[in-house]
Amino acid sequence: MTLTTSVSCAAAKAGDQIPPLTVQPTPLQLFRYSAVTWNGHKIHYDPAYAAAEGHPGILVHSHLHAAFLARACTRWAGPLSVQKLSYRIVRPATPADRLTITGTVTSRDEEVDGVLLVVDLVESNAEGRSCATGTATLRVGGADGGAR
Amino acid sequence: MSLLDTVADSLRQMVGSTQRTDHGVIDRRLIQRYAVAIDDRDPLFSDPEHARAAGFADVVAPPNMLAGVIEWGPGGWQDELKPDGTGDEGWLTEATRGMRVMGGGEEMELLHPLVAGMHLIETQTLADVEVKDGRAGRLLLVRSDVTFQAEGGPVLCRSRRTVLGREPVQEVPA
Repeated sequence: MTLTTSVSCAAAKAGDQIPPLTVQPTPLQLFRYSAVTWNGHKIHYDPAYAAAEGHPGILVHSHLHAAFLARACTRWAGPLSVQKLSYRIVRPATPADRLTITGTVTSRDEEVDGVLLVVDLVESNAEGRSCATGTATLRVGGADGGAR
Repeated sequence: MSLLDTVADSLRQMVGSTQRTDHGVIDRRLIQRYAVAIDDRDPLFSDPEHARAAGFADVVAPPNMLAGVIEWGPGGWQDELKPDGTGDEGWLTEATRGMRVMGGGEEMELLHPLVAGMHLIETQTLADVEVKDGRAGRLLLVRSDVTFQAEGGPVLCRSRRTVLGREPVQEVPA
């Protein structure tokens, strides 16, 4: 499979890459994510507690990883393009980690109301180690172009 | 018997059990704040006028907000929380006190967008409990099937959620 640079979602085919998304989570973002999701788990905002549990720092929430994966898709294919999203956390990430989400289209299926793309996603830290992996199914190019 | 095994046995007794929770009406401000927290600036998630122009009654929730919110209600009083700050959300009941828990992943099917003003109902079924050896020691995997539905309306999201549990490593600060 030959990898190419990112293309428009409507023309994407297997082997194409989506535009990479780089994010730098901060302690403030982790605090606000904990607050808005009413998640009191101290591993996300209490450094002493996180260290006591053996973590390298306060941890990015699993669902915040998922939000990064989803955003890499929606900024390319539309805010409501994501039909399915599965992900797995493979390595903890902290605010010290600059995270880059890349995606490769693995299949394209033409349907009556648009095109279904399956995208394999990887979120990597600055050392190139995977922190989260996932797969998204995106609907693009329908009557509403993924807008709804 | 280790704490992990005790918790696993306790949870296995509940496999197949279902919880149904009425989360009430989801307001615009929660969705807007979620979009801000994840730094997603698509106006569909934050601008009511933009959302209406796109054909929705109000702002739309970003894709994984339904899965991401841990507690939709007021939550437990501070002195009722476990030392790690978690409450009795989902299947993480008092029995898990002392364990190290964290999210492990999720498989979501997004069937209909959550729009501000919808009345949200969640149904959660404990699907599976597994203990296995991981790189960092023994690991408890608790999988549940979660469905979100608008009251009297469409199913919004179905997912299978995995929560991981590990033995405590040491005494942790209160």
